[in-house]
Amino acid sequence: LENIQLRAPILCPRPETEELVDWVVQDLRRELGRYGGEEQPPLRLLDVGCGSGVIGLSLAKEFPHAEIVGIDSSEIAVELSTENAQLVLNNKSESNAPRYQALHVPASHYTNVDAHAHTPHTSKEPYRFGFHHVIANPPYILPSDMKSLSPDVLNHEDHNALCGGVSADGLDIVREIVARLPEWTASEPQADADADTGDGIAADIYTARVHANSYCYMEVDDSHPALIQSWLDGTDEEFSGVQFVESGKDLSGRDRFVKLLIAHKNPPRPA
Amino acid sequence: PFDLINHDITFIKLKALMSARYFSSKATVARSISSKIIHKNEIFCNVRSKASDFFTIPKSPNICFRDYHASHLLPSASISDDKKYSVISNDDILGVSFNTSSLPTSALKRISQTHERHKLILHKLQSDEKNAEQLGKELSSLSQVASLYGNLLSLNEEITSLIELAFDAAESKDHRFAEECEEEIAALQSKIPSIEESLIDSILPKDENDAPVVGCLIEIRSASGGDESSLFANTLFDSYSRTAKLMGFSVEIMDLNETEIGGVREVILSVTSGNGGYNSDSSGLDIKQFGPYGYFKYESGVHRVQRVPVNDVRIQTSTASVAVLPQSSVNSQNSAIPPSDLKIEVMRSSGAGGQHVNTTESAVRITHIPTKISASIQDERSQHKNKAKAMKLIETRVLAFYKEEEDRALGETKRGLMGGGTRSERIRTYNYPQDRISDHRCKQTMHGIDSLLMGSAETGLVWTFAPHLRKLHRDELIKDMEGDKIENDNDESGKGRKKRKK
Repeated sequence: LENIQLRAPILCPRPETEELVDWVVQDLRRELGRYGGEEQPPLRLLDVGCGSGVIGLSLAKEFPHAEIVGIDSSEIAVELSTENAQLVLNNKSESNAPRYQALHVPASHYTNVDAHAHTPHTSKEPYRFGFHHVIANPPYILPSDMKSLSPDVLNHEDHNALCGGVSADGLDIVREIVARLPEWTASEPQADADADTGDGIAADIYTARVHANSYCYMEVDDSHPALIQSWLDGTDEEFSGVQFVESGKDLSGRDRFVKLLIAHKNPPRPA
Repeated sequence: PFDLINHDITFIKLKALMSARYFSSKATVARSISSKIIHKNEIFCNVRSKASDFFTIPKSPNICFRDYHASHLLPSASISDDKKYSVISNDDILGVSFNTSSLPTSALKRISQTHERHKLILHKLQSDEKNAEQLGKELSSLSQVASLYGNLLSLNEEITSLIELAFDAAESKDHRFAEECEEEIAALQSKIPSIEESLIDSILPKDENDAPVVGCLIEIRSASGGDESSLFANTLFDSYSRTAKLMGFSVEIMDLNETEIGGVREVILSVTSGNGGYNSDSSGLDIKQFGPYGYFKYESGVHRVQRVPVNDVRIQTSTASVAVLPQSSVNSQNSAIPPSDLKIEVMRSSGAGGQHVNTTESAVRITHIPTKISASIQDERSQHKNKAKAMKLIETRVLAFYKEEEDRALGETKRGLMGGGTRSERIRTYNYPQDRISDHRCKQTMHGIDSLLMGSAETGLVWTFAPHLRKLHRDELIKDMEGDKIENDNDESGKGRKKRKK
């Protein structure tokens, strides 16, 4: 991506993040390649902690038919990524709805379920989810490491965008994300209804899509892949539905990335 | 009239008649000889290597290449220096076939074989052959040669029937008619050279990398001469990038290593064919048919400059080296090199990396493990981009390396321009005091260094020398083909031939 605007205190994109996007692009290309390219199935992607928007926008450029939603707890990030979407994309899909949308909401609150009552909110508009895949570069620095960061980072970048929370392992935000993954990637009821009236081909592709796996790709601290793997492999009931698939190394040879699989809880649609 | 049979002729040197003036004077002599050869179809001579008698014989369809019976040479036979005839033996018959054109024998042999094959395929296809599709493809690849050769043959037939008319006219003393015929013959004969040129072109091996889609990497490095050399490298860099853009190509700088005084230590350019077409109204070598590689390929080698440096009074000689490599149009997703053969290193500060660090040192070095070829790029601020560039460089270099090895393994020591030139060969001298550029390969000298360097795509440096270099290359290829033929005839199997044809 060129000509992206950056603004303090939003994080400068790191090279490792480029590698994350590369990985996602390769996987997605392989998956979409199965459809032969004529009828591209709808593709909704979520960028958690979008910051300047580079992850979501790079994907939007690679996959012109994709719809991207970016969320961030910082209002500045939402503004910035929306501006960048304008610059990079001309931000319109065929139906004139914006292809890239940035929302000001932290991952923990990006839900339609009331945390305490476990019932759907009635007071506000429900969020539209139905994401096929989730990509995140969440804050992941361990609190103990924060003070040893270089002045370049400490003095100019938002600490909230860096520090992975209060827990010593720095995985708080990651945990919040993982908890929401099943909800985010559940197929949409409305889309189901729409597909009913569509022609045969679209319905087939949609059905195929529902059965296809949803993945979550994250960039994390080099201590995290191992921790995440042992955590998820221990099948904690609360997080059932999310499995560890694999980790990846960055070009410096450090464990940097994880790929998680969200098994859908929805029953398959009748054909 | 000369009675051939009764002479022990030790050598016949035949000259293909190209002009009408041989006609009227020797017509009678020629005719009697030719009729002897045709009608009696008997022996002609013992061939030995010394010349003793000369005859000139007009072209005649009855004594032409089509009557060539492929066979081996008699041990006592030899081929004349100008290769205009060869001695054939077909068991009982020892005859002489005349090469009726100026085409080299080997070329003509190959052309006529192609023509035969073409006819054969046509015949097969008509009778509903099983491999129709494959044969069809072969047919279309042969069709150009076959049709050109067909043109040549029918032209020859026309000429020779006119020759016979002229003979008859001369004999019946109708000199005016004979003259008219001769004029007509001359006119027809003047068409032959261009057909023959096209024929040769159609059977010479073509460089598939000349095609418009094939881009190239141009690497310019300063060599000997310190500062002067780097300034000259910069001059070449400017000239080539300017020319490339004027040709409508896209130029991307992969890597640039400059000196403080404005010189260039090393620069790597990626030149790809752009979408813009190039409109050329020049005749001759069609500039449009070449892509970036085809256009720049003869620039590979060492360029030597002789001039007075800015801070001195004496002439200094320095050199810069240029390498032009074809770029495959394969994109990085489908790299021809297995990723496991590559070692990718990133030059970054030690420490935790990732979000911990926000300085963007993103130099990438890729090493191809089997060949130890490496490429490193640190130009862009994006590691991703640097990696992509380094990959392109590695691919190009590794593929070129393997191709060279392949060629060497086949025992093809390509000389001259056919081999693409060795990189350490000094190909050109730029002499500023005398304002001239001399190319040592085609031995051409052009004047006006500045206008050549800053010229347009057609008047500039590259294209001014290109026609000469291409002709040189073509001549080498023809000679090579000749050399093949002799080897082939001496060597029973045809394997050497098959390997070379790609």
